[in-house]
Amino acid sequence: MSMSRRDFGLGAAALALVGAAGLGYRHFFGRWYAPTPYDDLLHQITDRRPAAQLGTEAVRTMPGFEVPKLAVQLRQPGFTLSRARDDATAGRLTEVSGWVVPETVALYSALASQFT
Amino acid sequence: MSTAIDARTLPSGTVLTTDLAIIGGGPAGISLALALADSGHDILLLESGGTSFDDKSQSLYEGPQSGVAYTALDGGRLRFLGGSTNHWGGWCRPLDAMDFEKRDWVPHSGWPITRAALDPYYPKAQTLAEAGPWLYDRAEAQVNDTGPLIDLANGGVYTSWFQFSRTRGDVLPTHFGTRYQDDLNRAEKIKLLLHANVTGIKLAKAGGPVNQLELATLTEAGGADKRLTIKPRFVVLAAGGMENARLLLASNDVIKVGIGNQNDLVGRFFADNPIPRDTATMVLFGGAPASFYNNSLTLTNGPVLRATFAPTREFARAKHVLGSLTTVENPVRLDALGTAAVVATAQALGVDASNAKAYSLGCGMELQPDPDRRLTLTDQRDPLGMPRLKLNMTVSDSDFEGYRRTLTELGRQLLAARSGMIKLNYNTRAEWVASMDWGNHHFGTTRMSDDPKTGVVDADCKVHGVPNLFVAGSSVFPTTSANNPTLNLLALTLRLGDHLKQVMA
Repeated sequence: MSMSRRDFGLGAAALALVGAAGLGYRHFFGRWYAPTPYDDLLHQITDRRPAAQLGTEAVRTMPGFEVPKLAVQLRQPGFTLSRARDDATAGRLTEVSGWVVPETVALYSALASQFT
Repeated sequence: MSTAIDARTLPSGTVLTTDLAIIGGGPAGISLALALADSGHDILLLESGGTSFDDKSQSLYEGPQSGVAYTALDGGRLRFLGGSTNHWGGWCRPLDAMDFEKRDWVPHSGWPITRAALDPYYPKAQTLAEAGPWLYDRAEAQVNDTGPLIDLANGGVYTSWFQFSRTRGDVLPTHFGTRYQDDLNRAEKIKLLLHANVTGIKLAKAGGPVNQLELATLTEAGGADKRLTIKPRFVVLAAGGMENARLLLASNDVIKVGIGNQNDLVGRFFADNPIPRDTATMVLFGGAPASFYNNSLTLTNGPVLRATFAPTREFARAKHVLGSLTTVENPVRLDALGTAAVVATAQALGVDASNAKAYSLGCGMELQPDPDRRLTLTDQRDPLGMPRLKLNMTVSDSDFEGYRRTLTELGRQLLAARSGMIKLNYNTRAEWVASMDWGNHHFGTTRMSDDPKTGVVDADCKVHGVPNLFVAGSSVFPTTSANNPTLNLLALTLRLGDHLKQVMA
């Protein structure tokens, strides 16, 4: 039995999909980032590239910025990225290069900027 | 029906008598004359220019400046019938009750009257400005079909409204000279004297009444020509926020410091509404706002509206901010950082920003009263022999800082509503000043106060210490608010008209 060129192509595509499912979607079709000790925090960010870009500027507003200290802060109960939804109501805002953003967004973005 | 008289056609040395001389044929002077047309008193309306622009007459306004860059003194006002309504934008909005109050965070604030004193006069003022039915903060119900308001969470900024003086044919908007000259001509008791430059207000004695006005005309070449005299029973100075001060200061033959200037207040506290451009970028996650935000909207029943963002009374008190009216201007493109800020924030908030649109914000601001922002006389003389004015213009850093707090609150409310966000574009004084235009609204130089030590005119707009001299126009405003002045000075002028009916009877 011989395999046609068409069958070979379909087979290769199927293999790739199985691989993607097994190894994680992001390894094949998204950006892949090296593992960090902070992935429990970074995985909350849907798209790390814009967050990192914002975070590079946000870090400038954070005197004495240190990743481990920031991570401790972000691992406090209730400090998930979704906290950003309540920041404005609570008056927790940060100005980053003029952009008025929720404090939580600025902090997670600052972390992303160190690992992206 | 009488027609306007050209003062240049009268013999030099002519003496005219009248019950009331109104100096200045701008919106205040014209409206006051018309308000008193049926009072039975003879009214002489003195306009320094003609019925159209003339550069020789306009050049009488020239003068030097110091301090913050500001519109040339002959550039922000017009010296012919209708005055500066010949180039106004037609923006109307009434003063708020708080604008009249003593605000403990605003030095020198507080009017001797309340908003209630003007309420009876606003309908007529609105009619004179041809701004349509009175809607303003009730306008929201009228625009439902056009689109929703931008969603703002509860907070210190609310959506408010401008109305516009109506466009009529080729007159855009109401130019008071063009619009009301026929009415002036039809009024039997009103005489309109054109090309009549008042050069002196003469007191009988210190503490006594005005008994004479000196007038001069210009030759075609712009030199001094004829000299005339007016003998009035009453005088209203309605020549604009700069020229009112100039005439009082220059009329110094009896009181050496100038009429009404015993406490060194005439010409001080000059103010205008700064109009900084592109103060902020507003991103709306859901896309373009309703058209009434960045364009005027004409309703089928007449009024022309535009939405604006204003600080609430509670926010102003709590955060010590002054008046401001923020407008949505042109669409803008975001840079890479801006796009990143929007994407990161929208994702964290759980909103779809794939249709987000960004807009530049503009503003009209209120300045803190400042006695050093001041008009003084110089040694230079114009062709009629009048000393020219000099302006020292100031803007304090706290004026910008206060407005920045208001913009930040607007951004907070957008985020809390998950409808958008903003970027503040200016940090430094230099950035603010570089972005600044001016409303060319001239306030404060003959400010109103019950106490002669803190004001030039009293609550009835009468000059302290002079029984028959009054001032009309925005020069009497002790504080400016962020609202454009024309509608408000019209209301105050109509109130003065009622007062004059009583005192002249």
